[in-house]
Amino acid sequence: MKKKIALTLCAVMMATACLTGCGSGGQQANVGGNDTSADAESGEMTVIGGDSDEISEKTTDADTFVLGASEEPTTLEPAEAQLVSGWICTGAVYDNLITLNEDTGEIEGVLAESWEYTDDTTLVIRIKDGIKFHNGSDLTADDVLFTLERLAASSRYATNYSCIDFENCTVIDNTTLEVKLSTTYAPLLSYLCHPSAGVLSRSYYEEVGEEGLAREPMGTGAFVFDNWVSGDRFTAHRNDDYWGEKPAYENLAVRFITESTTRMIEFETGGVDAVIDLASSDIERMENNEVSGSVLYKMAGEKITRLEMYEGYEPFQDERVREAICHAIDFESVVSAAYGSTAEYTSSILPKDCMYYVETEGYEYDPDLAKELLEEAGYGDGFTVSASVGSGSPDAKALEIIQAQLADVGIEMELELTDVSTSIDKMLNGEANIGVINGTVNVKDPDQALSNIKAESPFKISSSSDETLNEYLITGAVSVDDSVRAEAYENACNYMHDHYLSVPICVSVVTYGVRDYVDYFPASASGWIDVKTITFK
Amino acid sequence: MRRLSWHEKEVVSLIKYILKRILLMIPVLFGVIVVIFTINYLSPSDPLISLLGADATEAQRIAKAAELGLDQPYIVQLVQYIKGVLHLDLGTSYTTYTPVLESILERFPTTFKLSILAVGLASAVGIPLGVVAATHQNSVFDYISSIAALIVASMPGFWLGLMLIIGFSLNLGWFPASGLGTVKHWVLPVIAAGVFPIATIMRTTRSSMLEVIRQDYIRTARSKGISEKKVITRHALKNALIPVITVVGMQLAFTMGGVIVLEAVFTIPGLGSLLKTAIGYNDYPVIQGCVLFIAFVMCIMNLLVDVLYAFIDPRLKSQYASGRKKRQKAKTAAERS
Repeated sequence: MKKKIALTLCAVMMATACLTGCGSGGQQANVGGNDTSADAESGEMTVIGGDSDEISEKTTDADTFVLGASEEPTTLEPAEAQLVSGWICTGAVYDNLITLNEDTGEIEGVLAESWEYTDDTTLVIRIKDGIKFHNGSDLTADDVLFTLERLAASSRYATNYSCIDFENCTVIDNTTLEVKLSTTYAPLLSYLCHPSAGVLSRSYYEEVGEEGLAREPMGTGAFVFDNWVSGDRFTAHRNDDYWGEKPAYENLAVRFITESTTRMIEFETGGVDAVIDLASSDIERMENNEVSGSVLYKMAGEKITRLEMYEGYEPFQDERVREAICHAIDFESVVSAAYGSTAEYTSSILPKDCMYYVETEGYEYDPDLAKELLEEAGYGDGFTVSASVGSGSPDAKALEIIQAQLADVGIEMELELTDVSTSIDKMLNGEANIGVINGTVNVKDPDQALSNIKAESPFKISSSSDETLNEYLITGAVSVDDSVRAEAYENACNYMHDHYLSVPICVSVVTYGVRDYVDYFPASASGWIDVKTITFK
Repeated sequence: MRRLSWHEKEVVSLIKYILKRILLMIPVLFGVIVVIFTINYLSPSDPLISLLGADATEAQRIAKAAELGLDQPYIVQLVQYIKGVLHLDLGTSYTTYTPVLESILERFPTTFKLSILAVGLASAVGIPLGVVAATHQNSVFDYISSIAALIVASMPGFWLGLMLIIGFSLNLGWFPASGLGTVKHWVLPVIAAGVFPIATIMRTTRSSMLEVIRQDYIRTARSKGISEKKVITRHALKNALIPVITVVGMQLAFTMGGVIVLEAVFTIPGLGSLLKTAIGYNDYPVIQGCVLFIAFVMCIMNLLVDVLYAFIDPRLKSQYASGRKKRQKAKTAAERS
């Protein structure tokens, strides 16, 4: 009897070990065909997999699209939403006035019939007639004005709308709004294309208040909000009275799966139809066609990570020291080791698909030159810098490698690994002399990408007091002449490059894992997707 | 006035004991409030950065700080918070703008259910294993079960959770990897959360049984010719379970506080995932509320275990009942002296 029990226990333990052990090796048969990489229409996107004749079976509900997101939004009010998952949810329920066609780069109308500057500071918006909110009320120009008011009062996006002079804005009739600007501001239309500018209903807000707007969104969009189970999922159903082209499927679910391994397993086992924010190791597995029935969409993203030096720290006031640092770091190896497949090295301060993109050359890795420059600047014996970064992040890995490379030229970096907000706080108040900062440009306008380089930014970086650079940036923002803007941003980018200010390190790589039965997936470099356009095979 | 019967005295004493324990909870919870509030206050993390982003202007930061009351001195903020707690108002989340107590009460049932199921599983497996290990002391089964208990007790919950997902969800496809909805969704999280308590309950049962089966009354029962099965189940196990009940109760409380990571691994919308998200955003009201609530639940669980203990253990029952008599005797003796 004893023997039997012992044997049974051993068998159970061995079976458990086998089950879990084989998971780590988990290579499955590839039904997606051979490795295939194809450039998408944009010329930037790579699509891997999905070329097999056999497609995998959809195990989620037949008429439902389920997306696995990495984070849960804190609010579903567009003007306050801050995460990609939040924008995806609000983008399903709300419509914008205008949108940016990523293929042509042109702004196109959504709810807006037309929009035109009648003079430099007057924008007249005409909305389409007969559009209704989900609660049956009509969309009016007053709702558009209310949306602009919410954006201007937003804790996140207020700066982008501070140019609007609300006292002089006029609702001309039910479909026409005249927006007066206190100053010219070229990026305004780009910001109106962002998902944060989804058009709200004033009467609904008056009925449900702040909390209602945050928890139960109601717009004119292709999906009608059903439920938001905190910590679990967002659900919505198709708006059968939608004014535009209706979605090809009935229900939408966005599941918030924060643990990346679990998210990927849900994708592999068919628990979700697509995932965003893939881990570096999962990207590599999908690139090697190790995840059956899946398609990987991969493209350069819109987040540029930069190395910044604090202008108040004496050594960094000497341009030769900044130049020495640029030559002391092997940026390509830093990116490869720290960010893996989630980012690519870049030498330009703007992402490639950004308006007025300027290509600048990278700095050659030359520690000997760095030492010479430091010697010339009077820092031959080196000096100490302090840095602070959120622990466990790729940025932390990057700074650890940079720390070692700077040590080779005599610069000692005291690196503090802390939480993200503390590290940002230290960069804001100058306690950290050197660090990495991210600039995102999801409206494709350089004004957004370079916003934390401007003098008005709370960051005190190497260029904050540089009047020349600031003038270029202001000209770029306020000019309504395209050629003037292009010239201003070209000057700004070249100036930063030539004076070793704001050193680009890498550009994010945006990836989506999509099951092969999805026919059309609107992969976008901005990270958020227009879910209403998704179709199944 | 009618004199109370022995049974009535017992009940009155027990009620007094419970009231005393409830009163003792007040300083404990007050201490928790002060400690967690102070830790958050002294934390270098700035919730305004999480809320507004790094690009927010100084004016925006000042306005938000004033709106949230973060510009007030420490003592003012603490007193405000305590006042709120006394009115069952744990504040409003910085990020979702929802009342903290509402969020906690929305999430708590899921965590409670998970913990109950996990500890139920642990008891169902751990107690029989402990009994068999004790009755077969120094056997192969005893050694294997003790080693297995040691191994599983050493496994980090999140690691075990991931291994279970890889094994039973990815490779075998038997259970879903995450979320809630069907019975199948509960299987892996319950196993992952229940493994550690299995080990603890098994070891406690084993040692308690070993102590009891060596008692004279067990020997007497055996000498009377009662079958070994009856001796173990009716005589030994009943008394051996007294310390086990304490451990089960405590494990329930620990499991509730310890499923934070597991809830994230399995994407379970419970108290743990609420707390984890709040920590990520430096959402102090939610962090404070969750910790305070978990402390409150721990206190209640402790109290319930002690009360249950008193019901089960006749020695404790008699102590409550005789407590008054003893105190009177002591008082009389003191007066005489």
